[in-house]
Amino acid sequence: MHIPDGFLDPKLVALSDVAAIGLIGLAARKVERKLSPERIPLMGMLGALVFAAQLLTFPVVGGTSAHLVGAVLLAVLLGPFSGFLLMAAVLLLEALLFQHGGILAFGANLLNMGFIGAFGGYFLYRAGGSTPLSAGLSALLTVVISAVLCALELSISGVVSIKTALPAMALAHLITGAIEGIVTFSLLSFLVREAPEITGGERI
Amino acid sequence: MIEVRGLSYRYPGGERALEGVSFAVRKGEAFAVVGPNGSGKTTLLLSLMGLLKFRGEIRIFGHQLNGKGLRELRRSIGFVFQDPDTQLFMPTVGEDVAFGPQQFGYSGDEAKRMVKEALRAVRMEGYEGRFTHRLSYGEKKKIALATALVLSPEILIFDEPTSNLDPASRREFLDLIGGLNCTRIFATHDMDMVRRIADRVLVLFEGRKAAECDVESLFKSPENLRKWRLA
Amino acid sequence: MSHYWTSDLADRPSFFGRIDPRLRFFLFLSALGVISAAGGRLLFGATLFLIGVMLFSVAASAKFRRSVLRALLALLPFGAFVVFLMSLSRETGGPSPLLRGLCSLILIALFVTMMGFDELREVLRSLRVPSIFITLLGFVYRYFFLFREELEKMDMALKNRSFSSSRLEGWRLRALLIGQVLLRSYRRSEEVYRAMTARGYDRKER
Repeated sequence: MHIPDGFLDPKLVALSDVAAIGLIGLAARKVERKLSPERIPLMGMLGALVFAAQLLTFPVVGGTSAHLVGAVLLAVLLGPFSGFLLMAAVLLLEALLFQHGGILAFGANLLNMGFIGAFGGYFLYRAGGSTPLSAGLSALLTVVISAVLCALELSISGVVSIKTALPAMALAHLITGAIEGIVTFSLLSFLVREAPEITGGERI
Repeated sequence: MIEVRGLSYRYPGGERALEGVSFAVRKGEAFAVVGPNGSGKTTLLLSLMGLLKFRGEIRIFGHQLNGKGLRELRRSIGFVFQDPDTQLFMPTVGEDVAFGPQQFGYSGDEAKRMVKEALRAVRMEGYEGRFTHRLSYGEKKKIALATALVLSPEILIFDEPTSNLDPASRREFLDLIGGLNCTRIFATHDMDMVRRIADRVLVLFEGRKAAECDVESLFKSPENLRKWRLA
Repeated sequence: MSHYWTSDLADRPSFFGRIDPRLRFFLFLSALGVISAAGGRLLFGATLFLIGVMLFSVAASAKFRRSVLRALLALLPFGAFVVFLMSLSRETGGPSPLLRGLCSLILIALFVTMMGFDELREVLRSLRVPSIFITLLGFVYRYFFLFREELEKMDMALKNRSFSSSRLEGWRLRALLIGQVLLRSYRRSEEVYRAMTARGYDRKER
């Protein structure tokens, strides 16, 4: 869930922006030092692809639909630091071009989706045995965790009350999480089978 | 100007792409590389740019093409890829054309002036601020040529310069290429383009050199053209 | 349809072009900061003012109309969700967050019309944002449109072929479709690297 500007408490906004900028700096340094140069266009292409794939809507029930986040996918293919950096680029462009998520709330959104998805997701993926299945499960989990964080941030800011927001957000995102999980799992199994050179590349 | 001796290349899978190809390109001429699909044309062009690990010898301006000084050599060679969406990887036209100059240390007004000149050379003045993805295919092709021209190369290499262009864009693009006076090497299926622009031709067939000759002698023998799947 | 950055050089208003991009960026962030912390009368005034600016711009430019519409639509799902949650509980923040959200969206929509993408990246560069991040922003923006087109084409083909598949199977097919485009983007990235190298890109020497 992308939080627009104006909903979060200014202190929380400032704190999350500082944290996000620090993390971008750290990830950028890591990627710049370690990544081989031919992987940079690959990062760009995969980021663009995830950005474009986020526009595909997945019908859920009734008229509602969900879309992908793609953070776990990027982290599994490129590594957590690269995945995080790309999510930062994608979320910033989304905020500017589609007004999905605010500019000042960019930090909070990046922590919710990018940090949890790329770093948390990568950790869960490794902990689960580094298989497409563990990637799928970690995609499901990170989407739910992101939603829970989003509910927490909104209730800390006094917009909604935690008692209603938390279960509602978590439940709604079980479904989007399931889509994210199935797509991540099917995509990675397909790539492991058809293009091991992509899944077996360097991860920073 | 360019001397190639015994050029061979195998794909990472082990499949043969080029086998013992030798030829020479003279200064200022328009040199066509022709041959059917899969005959090794693109591989040959990429090798000339030092973008593949080939066997054999390539000499450009008398310098052997290998690790040392490769970047300096590339500076005097412009490469126009077949797919302009590959060649133009920056969001705006100005940034894209400026990419080459920036890599070689030009910046600010100097780089801006070079970009302006290159755009004028392809008759696309004032396109600096345009978004690349919004251009038509023909416009992208011309900008791609500008990105290769911006460092005033002595050699220009084109991979399938006229493919996918509509008749009017093709004519414009051919006029541009024909009007340049640097050494030009192009791989193509477009035999009409060969007839109009090329001075000499290298025919590749199944990864080997089938002929190296003047354009007139190539078209004198229809049975050869059919044999090489060029007609 | 095929572009979202509303200010192409050709139609960028010249009035804003004269202000230094860094100043424009700074003004934008400050306005956003003031609004997203505002409440009471200030917020009410700002809302009225921005709605006025929006109506004026909408009347003046068809391009802006589309981007404002998109901005308002973007607020809908989140706004509706928050309203829904608010209706479930008694102690909530009231309508102020929604107004602040609306104002911010109008501001962002305005900002994008006054600032070129190249200018924004130049500003970020001067603010010492890591160059790799700016490079990635450029790549993602440049190739987004290409991949969106490829995905849409394949999605259309998929819809034409699959008559009665379950929801789950539909999701899986979508994944494979993205996989196909991903394979192609991988090949393309190798080509792009060649194109960069051909033009002198060499990170070791820079």
